[in-house]
Amino acid sequence: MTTLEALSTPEVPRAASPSPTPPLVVVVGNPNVGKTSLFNHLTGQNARIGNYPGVTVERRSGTVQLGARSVEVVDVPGTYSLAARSAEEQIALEAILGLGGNPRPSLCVVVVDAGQIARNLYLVVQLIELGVPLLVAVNMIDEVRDDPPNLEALSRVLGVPCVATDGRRGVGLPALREAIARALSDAPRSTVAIPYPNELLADLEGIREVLPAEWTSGGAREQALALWALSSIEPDDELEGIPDALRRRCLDVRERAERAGRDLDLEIVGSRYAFVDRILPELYARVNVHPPKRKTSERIDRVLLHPVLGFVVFIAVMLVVFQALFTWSEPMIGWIEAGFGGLAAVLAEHVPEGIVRDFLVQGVIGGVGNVVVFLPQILLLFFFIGLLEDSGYMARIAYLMDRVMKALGLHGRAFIPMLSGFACAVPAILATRTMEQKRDRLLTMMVIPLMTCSARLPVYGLIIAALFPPTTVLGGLPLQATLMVGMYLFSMLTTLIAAGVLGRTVIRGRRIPLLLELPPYRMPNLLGTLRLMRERAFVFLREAGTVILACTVVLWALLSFPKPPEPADAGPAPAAAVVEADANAPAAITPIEHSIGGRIGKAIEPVIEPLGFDWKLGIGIIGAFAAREVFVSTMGLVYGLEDLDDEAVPLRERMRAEVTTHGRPRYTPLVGLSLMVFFALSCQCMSTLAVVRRETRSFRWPLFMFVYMTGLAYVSSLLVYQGGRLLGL
Amino acid sequence: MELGVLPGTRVEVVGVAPLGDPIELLVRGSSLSIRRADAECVEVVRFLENELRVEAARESVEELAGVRGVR
Repeated sequence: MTTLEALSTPEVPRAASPSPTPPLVVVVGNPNVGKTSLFNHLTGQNARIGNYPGVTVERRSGTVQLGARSVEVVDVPGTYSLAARSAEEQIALEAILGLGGNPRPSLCVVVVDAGQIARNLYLVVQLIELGVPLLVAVNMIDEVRDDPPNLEALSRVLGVPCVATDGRRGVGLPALREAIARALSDAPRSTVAIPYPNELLADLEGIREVLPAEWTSGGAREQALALWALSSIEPDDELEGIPDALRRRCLDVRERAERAGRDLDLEIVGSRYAFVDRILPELYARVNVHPPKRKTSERIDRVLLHPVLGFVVFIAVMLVVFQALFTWSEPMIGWIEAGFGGLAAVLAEHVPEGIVRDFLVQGVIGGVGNVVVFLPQILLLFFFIGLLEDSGYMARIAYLMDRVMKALGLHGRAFIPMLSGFACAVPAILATRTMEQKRDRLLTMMVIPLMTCSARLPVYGLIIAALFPPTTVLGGLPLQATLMVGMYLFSMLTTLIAAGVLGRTVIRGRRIPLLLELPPYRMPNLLGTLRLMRERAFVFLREAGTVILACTVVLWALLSFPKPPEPADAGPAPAAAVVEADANAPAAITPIEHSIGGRIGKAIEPVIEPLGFDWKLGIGIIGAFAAREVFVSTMGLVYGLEDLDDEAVPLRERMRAEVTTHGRPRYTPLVGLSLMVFFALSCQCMSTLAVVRRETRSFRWPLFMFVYMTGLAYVSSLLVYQGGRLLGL
Repeated sequence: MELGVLPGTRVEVVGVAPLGDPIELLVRGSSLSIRRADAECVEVVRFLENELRVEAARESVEELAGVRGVR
């Protein structure tokens, strides 16, 4: 929080603001009510992304100028209710009341969907009960032009000001700003009381006695907090900071109520909806009909959710997304690589040869290049996610695919991230953000790197071309292409199994019923999408990019130092088991072999030998930790081959020519298969780990990912190689 | 429940996903899609608790049981 304050303080004219920190306004609302676009309109270009204290939930905030006054606005994650089951859901309440290390807001703006007043008012009722200064923004007012709710009546029955807005077009924004300014000085609090059954009121009295001191001093109504505690605390909830006394009392009340045959949830929720049902008739001239927008949406859905047509459209849309990630990003990635290559060349000319030059060219420029190279795919993916979310089609994708994803133990929304995983795990993991539940996000993240990403293709390409003959198998299928397809199928199968196993063991979590809302179709908002792309790219560069850069430098150092002695002193290769096949090849060891990384490669030979790998492949695997495709160039360095082109023909020939002491080919097709299985399963990608660390804000999960994937890879390759040997391959 | 599915609430089955799950409901003018399993073990039980509304519940149990897109 202090950093946010420090950032915004210089913008505050001291004379105009009596306190050193600007007043805080929180924006809350149900999901899909256009809260984010309203927030974007309010804050303009100066939103910042931070994090709520203690949880992996992003906190977007921005500064708004209201006349001479500067106001800090925070976007609270969308929610249908304040009742919480986990620490993630708890932050809505904490952000609104200023608990748990959050600053205390001066005003709460609740955004409601004008077309779905009934459901939205449930959250408004909870806010009214908490007694916070409240302002209601009735958003998407343009969609209910035929039958608008009477906002004067709403304002009267709720006892707080209500403003009509249209966040997409920015209509009603001046009125909203004015209302915020006024509400900041008036602090309008509703005096409406929801009539609860008497038994429930008696229960709440008992809970109030044990509320923590921090809660009671907040000015919020204690009864409302007792209600919150009673509806949130359960024997297996994952809430944080709940005192034992409160927890015991709530569970006790619940147990007694159950014994008495009462349904507490029904008493609480039912009373609130009874209030909503009572005020609804006052808002509408006639009885509430279907909002007209929904009728259009139903017509579109008849096509897009059709058992045949729906899937045709779906597959077409997915093809475009996948094509974009896979193919359209290529030229951009090429430009970035060429740009950094040019930069490296320029630098190489101006800096004298030596460690400094190598460090700058290979470590720093190479590292920055490794980071920037992800941007095309990240930007493209979030471009599509933005459009899909905004148009309402994303919810339909989840609806269509939920059955399939359910089989994996995943959420329907996991489909897009999983699909993106075929292009690259890094943007795919960033895309898991579109899921609300932490468990869904985590499980999806943990299995995404098993999908065959594009970085594996050059590795498979090299191994298949070098070690497998271009013959046909199984009655005419080309062996090499069949292997490539086989690797794709293998990765899908392992993803499926891993999701099933991890979902039942490590990432079990509470079973939360799937709740999908199919919002009306709307025209996507291009500006909002561009903003989303910019935000995601920025967060990636700042938080994952630094880790990737650091790792690149470390790997560069590992594979460069110590430098070998002068060529004249070079002795014979220490690994006696390996005899150079090519009689003309110099016996001198290559620089990479002499480096720490090279020595590690040799040291791990006994460990990887049962998989059929020798130390040369060991060095290749270590080098490939930077990114899988680096395996190819690292192997080139091992053989002293520089400047490999894409075809890498010399490398293939060298690998094919490698023989054992018995004169048999060292790298048999079985070794190739074992190596491909290893690359399919192992976590040979520091960028993936860096992004997982960023998204989970812990070292535990990336470490777990690395260990489980590498373990799986080792065991599988071992089974393949030793099994193949037993079969006489 | 907090989304407004309460004993006696009118719930319309708007449609069933092409693969048979989830089902889309219309509750209080809002769309809500839930999986069959949840529909049966959460909401319907809630319906049944209130005897006066059993009829409404039976109706939806039948609808959920297999008929596609019953209005």
